[in-house]
Amino acid sequence: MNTFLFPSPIEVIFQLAELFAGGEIIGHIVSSVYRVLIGLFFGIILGALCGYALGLNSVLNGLINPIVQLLRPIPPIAWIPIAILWFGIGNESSFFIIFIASFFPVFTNVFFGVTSLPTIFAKVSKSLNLPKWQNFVHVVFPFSMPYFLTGVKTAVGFSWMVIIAAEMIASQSGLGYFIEYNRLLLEPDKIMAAMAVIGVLGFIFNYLVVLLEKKLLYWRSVSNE
Amino acid sequence: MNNPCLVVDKVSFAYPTNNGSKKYILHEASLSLSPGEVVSVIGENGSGKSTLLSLVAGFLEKGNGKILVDSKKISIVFQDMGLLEWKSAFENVELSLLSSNLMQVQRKNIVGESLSLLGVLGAKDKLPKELSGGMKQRVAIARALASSPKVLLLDEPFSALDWKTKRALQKELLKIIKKKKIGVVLVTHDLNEAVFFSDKVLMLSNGKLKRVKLNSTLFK
Repeated sequence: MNTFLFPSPIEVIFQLAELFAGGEIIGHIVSSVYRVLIGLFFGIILGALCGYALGLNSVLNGLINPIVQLLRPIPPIAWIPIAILWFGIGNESSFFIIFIASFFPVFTNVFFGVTSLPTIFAKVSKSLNLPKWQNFVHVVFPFSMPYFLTGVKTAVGFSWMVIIAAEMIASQSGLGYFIEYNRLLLEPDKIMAAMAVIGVLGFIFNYLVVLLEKKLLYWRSVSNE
Repeated sequence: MNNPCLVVDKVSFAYPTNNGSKKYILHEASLSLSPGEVVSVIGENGSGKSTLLSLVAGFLEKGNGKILVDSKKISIVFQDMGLLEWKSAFENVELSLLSSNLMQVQRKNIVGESLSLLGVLGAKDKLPKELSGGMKQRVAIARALASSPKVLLLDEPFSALDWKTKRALQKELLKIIKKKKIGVVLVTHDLNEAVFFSDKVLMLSNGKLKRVKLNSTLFK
């Protein structure tokens, strides 16, 4: 086997250690993490807000949902060329691509959560004369929380997928840029080391959401056994 | 005689059908309920019992006829309880007082009293999933009673309970109802339960409510 094109795991680990020791990869990791966090923040906030707004208001839903459904199937990566034209090469393009990648899963899940509220809970809320805002705080929001967190988990996974593609094309830093740069320099061991870093970062992000889920949805795991 | 706390006067209600016509499920149904009186409405599945309760509770837009009741003074207990899974027994009961102007301390006292009355104060910090069926139903009733209703609507609340639990809960609830002078409408398909629990049994048939005269000693 060609060990240049297919470096062994040991070689990749040594390369990784070298990259960390020399500090070469750290700046790229920080850039990618920063972009993912900012893009996710806006995607999750706006996705959730739109999901709740459209889920709770049928008029708004009738007006806006067709547009959202038209945009939803477009892969986030397809937005990269237009993002470069709008925002140029740099952070803003990446923020935008991650925003697109995280907005739709959060929006779709929250919308589905709100609209699938069981009739019995709506009746309970009405019979207890809860004002709209209390109905939201005590009934709709907690009920939709599992859906919201499912959306967040999907958004996190999507974000790491698209950031790499976005940085390969529309950036001068980040792990995607690092991979593309080392492709041109014919350094497959560095490419694989960067891929391993992406895997670990994705795992950490997902683990943090799972921890949050366990804390917020503790009521789902109790039983009367 | 006391003024009635609920009057249903010649209420009709129809659901639209697929062919564009209307299917009347209630046709000039009437009933009157005095404070402390328990009226059971029996009937076959689909006879309109739950529709009647939904109209009184305000879940459905009123059809023809009149329903006179103070909507702020109605509580309802559902067959499947409707306890919020993410809230403790205490918080579920407290929900019924959130729309009032009571201070938190006052709310806490009322919720405690209500849970105590139903014998579930010890389970106040438990989530619904941690409670048995009987305890869940007690919490649901405590929630309905906490807001001091004048009219209590019971939508087959005992149907999921075993006979012993059901009878014990019915006896306790009857004591509370009579003491607090709450007018009760119980919807059930169990004639035995209706006779045991009520002062008056009404049969809903062909959209109309008719009084059923029974020798209650046969059932009790």
